[in-house]
Amino acid sequence: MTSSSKRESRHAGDPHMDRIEEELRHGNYLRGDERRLQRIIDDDKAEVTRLGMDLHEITDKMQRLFQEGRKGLGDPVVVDEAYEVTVLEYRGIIPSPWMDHYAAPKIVVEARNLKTGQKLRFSLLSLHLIRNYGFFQGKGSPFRIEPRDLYAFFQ
Amino acid sequence: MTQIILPALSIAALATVLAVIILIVEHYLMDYGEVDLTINDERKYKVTGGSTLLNTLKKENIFIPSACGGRATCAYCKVKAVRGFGEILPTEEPLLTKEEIAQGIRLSCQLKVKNDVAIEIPEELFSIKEFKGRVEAIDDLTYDIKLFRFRLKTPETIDFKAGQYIQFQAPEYGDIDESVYRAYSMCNVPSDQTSVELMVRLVPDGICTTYMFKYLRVGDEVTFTGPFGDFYLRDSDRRMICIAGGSGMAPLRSILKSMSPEEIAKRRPIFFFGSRAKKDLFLMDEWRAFEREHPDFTFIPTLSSPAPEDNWEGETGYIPSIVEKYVDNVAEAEGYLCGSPGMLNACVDMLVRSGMPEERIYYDKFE
Repeated sequence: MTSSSKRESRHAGDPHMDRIEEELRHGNYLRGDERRLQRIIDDDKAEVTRLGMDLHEITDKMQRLFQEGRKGLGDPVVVDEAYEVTVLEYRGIIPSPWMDHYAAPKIVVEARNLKTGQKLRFSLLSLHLIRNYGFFQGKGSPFRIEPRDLYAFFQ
Repeated sequence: MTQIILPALSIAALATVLAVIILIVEHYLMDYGEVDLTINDERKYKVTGGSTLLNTLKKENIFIPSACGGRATCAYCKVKAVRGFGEILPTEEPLLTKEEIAQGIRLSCQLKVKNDVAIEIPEELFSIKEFKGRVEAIDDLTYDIKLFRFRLKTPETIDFKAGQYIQFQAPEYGDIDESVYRAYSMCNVPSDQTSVELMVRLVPDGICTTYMFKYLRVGDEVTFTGPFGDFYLRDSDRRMICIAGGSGMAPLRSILKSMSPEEIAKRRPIFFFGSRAKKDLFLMDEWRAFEREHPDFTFIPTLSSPAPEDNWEGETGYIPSIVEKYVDNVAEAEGYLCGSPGMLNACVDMLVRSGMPEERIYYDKFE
C-alpha cells in the first residue's frame, strides 16, 4: 500500500487549504503523518482546549524567549531567571508554506527550563504557524511540537 | 446527511475529472507553436509556447532566481510582465503586494507562454549561467562547517566578482521529494575560474545542508546557477573594516585574497572574525600567513565565550564592542560584513553610531 493510498481520502474541502496541504507535504512539514491538514489542526486544537492553553499567551512567551535570547548573538542567555535560551541564526529565509506573504528568517530557538530541565526547540516559522493557524506540524516533522510539551515547558 | 454529502462528493469528483481532462488535453493536444518573447524591449527570442515563463527562459539560458523549483512558494522568480499574460492567478496573488501587482510584477513560474509576450528583467540576469560540476573535495573546517570544492564541467569556467554567491541545487533525496536551491557565497578567488569553493554551515534539519553534509560525496555531480549578488569590493581609497562570523568568512576570504598587494597597502583591511569558542575557529594558520605576507592587513579573531580549556589569550566579547579599540576613525572607513542577521544588525548599528554612513556598509543578507 502506497503512502498516498494510506492517507485519508480527499473530501470536498477548501481548495486553498488543499493547496496549502500540498505545499506542507512537499516541504516536509507533515512528514509521515497521513492525516488531512484540517484533521491535524483540529486534533491539536482539541488538545490545546483540553489543557486549557491560551495559544496567544503561549506564543507571546515563545516570542519573548526569541527576542531576549537573540541578544546573546548565539550565546546562551538566561531569561526571567527561568529559561536558558540560545538563538541560532542562519543566513537565508524560509517562505511560509501557508502562502501568506510571510518569510521567516532561518532562526532556531533552543530553550531549557532551568527548574525542570525540559527542553524546547522551535523555529521562527514554527512559531508563526502555531500562532496564526494553530498548526503544530505533522507527527513526524522535525519541528513538530506536542501541545502538551509546550504547555508543560512554560508551567 | 448522506443526501447532502453524496451530491457534494459527486460534484467535487466531476470537477476533478474535468480538471484532469483539461490538463491532459492542454499537455498533448494544445500546440501553441512558435511565439515571440521580447525582453527589455530589445532582446527578441523565438520560443516554443506552452511552457512556464521560468522554464521557457531557462531553455534560452536565462536563469531567474528560484528557490522552490517553480512551486509558487519562494516568490524569488518575479519579473515584470509587459504584455501577453492574462490576469493575476490565484497562485500568485498571496505572494505579490498591491504595489507589485500595480506595476505588473508576476511570478514567472506561474505564467504560461501561450502567445507573443514581453517582459522586463534586470540586465545582470543575462550573465547568469547554469553550471554542472563534480565534487573535488569536502573538508571539515569545524564540527559544523565544511568546505566544498567543485571542479566545473560545463561550462568549464566561471566569471564572478569576489564576494558573489551561487544558488546550489539539492536534488530529491531520502524523504525529501522536491529539489531546492540555496544561496552560498564563493570563498575562492575569481582568478581560480575552473572551480567553485563554498563554506557551508550545517542547519539543523535543513533540507539543503543535510543533503550536502550527509549525502554528497567526492566525485558526485552538482548543479548550480550564478553568479549572483552585489556584495563585492568597491573602488575607493577608504580603510576596510571587515566583519564576519562562522561561514560568513566565505565572501570576505574571496574579496581579501583577490586584492593586490598595492590595494591591501592602500586600503589597510582589518578583519574581525567572531566565534563562540576555539572549536568554532578555522583557517587560522591561513589568515596568520596572509597577515605575515601583508603587513597592512590585520586579522582579529574574537571569541564571545571561550572555554576554560581554550586558554584563549586573544580578544573576547562581541565584535561591536571592540572595533573602536583597533580603528581610530570608523566614520571614514568602509564596512564589509557577512554573517547571521542578528550579528549583522548589531554591527551595522555600531558602525552607524560611530558615524559611518549606512551607504558605505556593504553586506549580503540573502533575502
